[in-house]
Amino acid sequence: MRLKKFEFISPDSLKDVLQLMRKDGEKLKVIAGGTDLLVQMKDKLITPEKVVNLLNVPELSGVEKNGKGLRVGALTKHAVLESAPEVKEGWRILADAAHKVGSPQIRNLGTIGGNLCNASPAADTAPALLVLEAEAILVSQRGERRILLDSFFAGPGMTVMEKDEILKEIFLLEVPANSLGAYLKLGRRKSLDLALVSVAVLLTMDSGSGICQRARVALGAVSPVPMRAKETEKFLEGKELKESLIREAGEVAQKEFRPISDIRATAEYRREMVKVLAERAIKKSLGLPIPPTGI
Amino acid sequence: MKKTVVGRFILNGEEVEAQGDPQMTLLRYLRDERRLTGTKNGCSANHCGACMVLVDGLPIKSCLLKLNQVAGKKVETIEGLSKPEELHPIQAAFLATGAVQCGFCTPGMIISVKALLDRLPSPTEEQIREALKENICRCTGYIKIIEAVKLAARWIRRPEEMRSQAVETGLGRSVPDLDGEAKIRGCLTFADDMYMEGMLYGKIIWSRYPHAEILSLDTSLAKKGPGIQAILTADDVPGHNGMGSLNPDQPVLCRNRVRFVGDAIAVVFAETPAAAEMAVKQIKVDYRELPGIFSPQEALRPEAPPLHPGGNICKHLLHEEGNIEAGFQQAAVVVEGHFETPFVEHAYLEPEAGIGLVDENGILTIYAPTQFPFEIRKQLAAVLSLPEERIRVIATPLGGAFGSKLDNTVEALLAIGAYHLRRPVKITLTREESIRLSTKRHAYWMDYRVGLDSAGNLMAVDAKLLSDAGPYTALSPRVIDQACIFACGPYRVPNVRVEGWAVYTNNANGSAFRGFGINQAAVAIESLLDEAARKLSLDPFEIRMINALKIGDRTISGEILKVSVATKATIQAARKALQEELSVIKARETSGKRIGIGVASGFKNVGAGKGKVDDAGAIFILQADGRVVLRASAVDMGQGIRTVLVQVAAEVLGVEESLIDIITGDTALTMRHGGAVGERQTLIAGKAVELAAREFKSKLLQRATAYYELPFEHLRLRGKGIIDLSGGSMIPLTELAKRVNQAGENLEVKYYYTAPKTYALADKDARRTVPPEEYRNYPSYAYTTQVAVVQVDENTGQVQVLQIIAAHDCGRAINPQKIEGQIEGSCAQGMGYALSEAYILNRGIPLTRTFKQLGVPAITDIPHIRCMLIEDPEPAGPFGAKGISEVATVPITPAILNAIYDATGVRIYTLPATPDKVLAGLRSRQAVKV
Repeated sequence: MRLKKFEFISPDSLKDVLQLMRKDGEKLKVIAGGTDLLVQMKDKLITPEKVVNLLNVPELSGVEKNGKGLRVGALTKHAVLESAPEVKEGWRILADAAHKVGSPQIRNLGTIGGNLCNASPAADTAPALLVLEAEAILVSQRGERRILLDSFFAGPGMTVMEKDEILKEIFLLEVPANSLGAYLKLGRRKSLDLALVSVAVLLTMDSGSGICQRARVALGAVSPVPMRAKETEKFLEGKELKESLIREAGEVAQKEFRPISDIRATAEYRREMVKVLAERAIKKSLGLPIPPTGI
Repeated sequence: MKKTVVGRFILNGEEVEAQGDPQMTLLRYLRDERRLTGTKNGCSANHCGACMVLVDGLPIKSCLLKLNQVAGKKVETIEGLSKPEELHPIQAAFLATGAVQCGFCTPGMIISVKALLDRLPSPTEEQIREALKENICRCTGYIKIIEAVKLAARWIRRPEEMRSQAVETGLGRSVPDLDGEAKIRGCLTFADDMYMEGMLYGKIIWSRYPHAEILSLDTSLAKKGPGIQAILTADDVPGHNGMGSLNPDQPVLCRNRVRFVGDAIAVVFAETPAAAEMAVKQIKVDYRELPGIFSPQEALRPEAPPLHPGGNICKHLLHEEGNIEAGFQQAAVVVEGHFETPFVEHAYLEPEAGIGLVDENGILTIYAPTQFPFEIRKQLAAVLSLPEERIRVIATPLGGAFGSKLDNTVEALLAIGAYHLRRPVKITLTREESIRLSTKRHAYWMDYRVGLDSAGNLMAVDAKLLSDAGPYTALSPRVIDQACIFACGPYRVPNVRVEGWAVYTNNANGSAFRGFGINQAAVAIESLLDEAARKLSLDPFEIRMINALKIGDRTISGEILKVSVATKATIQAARKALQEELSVIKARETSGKRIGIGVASGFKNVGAGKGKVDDAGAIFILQADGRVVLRASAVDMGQGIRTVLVQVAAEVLGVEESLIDIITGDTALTMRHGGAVGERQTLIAGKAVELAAREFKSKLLQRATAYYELPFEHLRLRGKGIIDLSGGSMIPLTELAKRVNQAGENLEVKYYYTAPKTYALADKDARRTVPPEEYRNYPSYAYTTQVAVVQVDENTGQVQVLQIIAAHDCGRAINPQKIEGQIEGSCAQGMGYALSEAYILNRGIPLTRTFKQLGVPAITDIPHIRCMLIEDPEPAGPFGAKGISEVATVPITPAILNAIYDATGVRIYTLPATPDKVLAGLRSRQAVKV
């Protein structure tokens, strides 16, 4: 099975990309690493007339730390995210999530922008970015807009981006002091598999009392879009995180999601796993022992 | 279309300027434009890793990588890894450790290893697994690949060690694969690697529905397309429009009815693949959908529409021995269960491909990766209405097969293409097409009832096995016959009632898959035996020892076993090994994870048996240059039979292995044989080679005696010549060959070997009339016992296999490394069957369409495997050897299920044992306790 004929364009500036998007946004698809798009095109799930290659656009790349936070260009490869010292030090949970994307081979090609714009409910970086309260910076000829990643996804394979917009970068604020985080992913097998359930947790603790001041919890693969578990967050905040409370938090999380059945797992199983993984991710954040979650 | 400059890049150190189609992927460019065919196309979807290349030193799959994405970069392929006169240490290590079987995944695997070792010169095992987790290998079970990486890392540090490495030779030694060097260099020519002058490309129009009537077929628009040479339909099949070895009922091209989504309706041959694909889209087929049958249970209902003129029952057999009622009356314990196993895809890395042509002598020639060239030739003769002598089938190297390349795949379409067009034609299936068309392991529904007396003796087994044969006969009748013969495992059972059905449906075509029906039955009998042992408070090894078949015992089908029966030896070896490892295993127990140990035994036929002629031939020729040519009746699909046969030949002759050139898989050059099936080739082809070699040796020595007037009894073959023990002189074979040539003579031996006659279970007359001491179902049997240690996460239901112990009887290990490779690969497949693999359809429409969805184990899933070889010689085999390649898949699946039970108290009756099923079992147990 071959790809349907399409025109392939490789602009070398953001200006040219935006002009193309303005003119032909309906008919084209942008491509970065190609790990998702090319498979979809081959399967004829999408058949664009034009494909715009972004890899030569300098404005979209680079990871930079400044006074306020971290700027991550949309073209940043997962392999870079998992190993860049500034990410590992300041935004560890993102490095951990990037490490769980596919294989080393996929991580050498796939970009964070592509992973997010493809809007898979199971995208590995999404829950981590959600708990980090990442901002997506969208750009078009009309100008730039910044939205919280929480309102970026519109449904499976859908985002709120307009036809003439592209994702330029992700911005992450500094993580508050005394924050602890963890990302866990459950698949059918250890590799070559999508997440059945994934959970990211970021807890900001009061250093003296052991009270959780601020909690951020997000899940992937159990709702049409990766989503924050806001009830669970509220439940955790202001409390001392004892074993029994963590167990209850898992139950709260379980009530927040309505996963579906498919050939990989039943809805019932996924619902059950929301509880188990949320509980384990909280424990892992706090450095409590958890069984090696086989992924 | 706008052409974008694709640009320059460095390919294996040389600057290249790629021009043309910017849509072209790097993989297509490497293969089609540069003929660098070492980079393989396994799935074109980023799933399998066979197309791995290095881009600026990073491993990247080239199948979806656009040329413009590598502009200005450095691309390295397997061909650039080493110079022709040397091997890279990674290549050398793969060869030395036996990490290569079929060789199709090997180049991509080696490339990933190169990237790893460049980055981490001394990786841990964990890092090795992580780096190779998207390189799928279906043959080796990954164990030897991990060994190879460790060895390569060492050799890179200490090149002198690599150089001083001695290569093993001789029978009983781990002689490296004789095609191994070509495999590790990526230059072994698989069917899709062949390009012919003036070649046309074929594309197939598949059925859209699982069951439909074809109302009309309109090819008029498609025919007008540029470069279209022909669109062939059922009207263009010259002879019988059907393939199949038992009943040729699967149409080459369907005329007015389709019975599954793998049915072909037309085939387009065009100058380019793109033109053929365009035409496929322009062909209009009008269908009237017919009500389908999507389970054997539906098929058996009286109101079910018949899928074939004879109805929906493909095969039914009932076998009774002793008195089943009396047997159950004597039973102290009765255990029973209903078991279900799914269809499973073979998932070899090489999708089906081939070339058809008419050669200069007018012989229609097919190059394709078939396990059974002679059978395919016979079937093609009927399809083409040609005598068999006018057809030649050459088996190209098989990039894995496991039973699925036994039935026709692309051969018949290639044959009619070459027949009509008189030009070379090529068809290569995509991975999705391969999954759609290819045969599967049958789905089974089994009801078992097993009775034992208080001492643990099996008294009675009542088994019903219902198999989904799919749309056509294929090998389903023989598979169900075999499942019934092995329905009770390697045990004595005095009272038996076994009933089997193979039933037509509109699902996938069920046929041969490594184990051939025994795997399904083993799941049932071994699970129930485990349950019985618990009820009787017997050790799982003990209950198997009590019932194990031994010499003099009768199998349930009535064969008296006379030699080489190693059930007990394998049970004892596995038990001893487990005791040795138990303390280490116990130490791995962590909170929230339960460890369980499961045991199962198995046996399996060696040789096709069941009334089929088990034959093979061998031809030895002394060439004019003094080399020995062996034309052997065998097909190598990665298991290494070519190497094994050369080892046998060299052992008999006394010459060195490197003096022998072997030719296999060619109907024009070798004698007829029963195919690469039933783990039969070591036994049958090996025997033919052994006996032919004895004759050839004696002819060589006689000729030397005559020419040189030397005493026959003092002559021996050694190295490359004949030595005279009395005089100490040496006659090189080159000399002898010259003399033979001058005398105008030939030195050639042809030997045709047939194993003793066998009988099918369905052949009731034979059981009555053949004397019991002569009655047999198969030429021989292989025995095994395996232990699985698993860890179950009680909150997620995930099962991880921690360790496997595999004790196997192989008669005599001609090449221990190759035998281990077969066992390890079998264990990986049996593990996938237990835990993750299933080919799922919804009302005849496949839901598992891609390689990734099949659930094939990756390197990260594989536990440590300890292999133990037991050598209980089989007198019928060469030097006591028999087969090994399938039996190891049999017990591992139930051993894992038994281990899950041991860990959790949950018995899984429906494969695969996915986390949701295990968790549901745990939950219902907890509910019972509350």
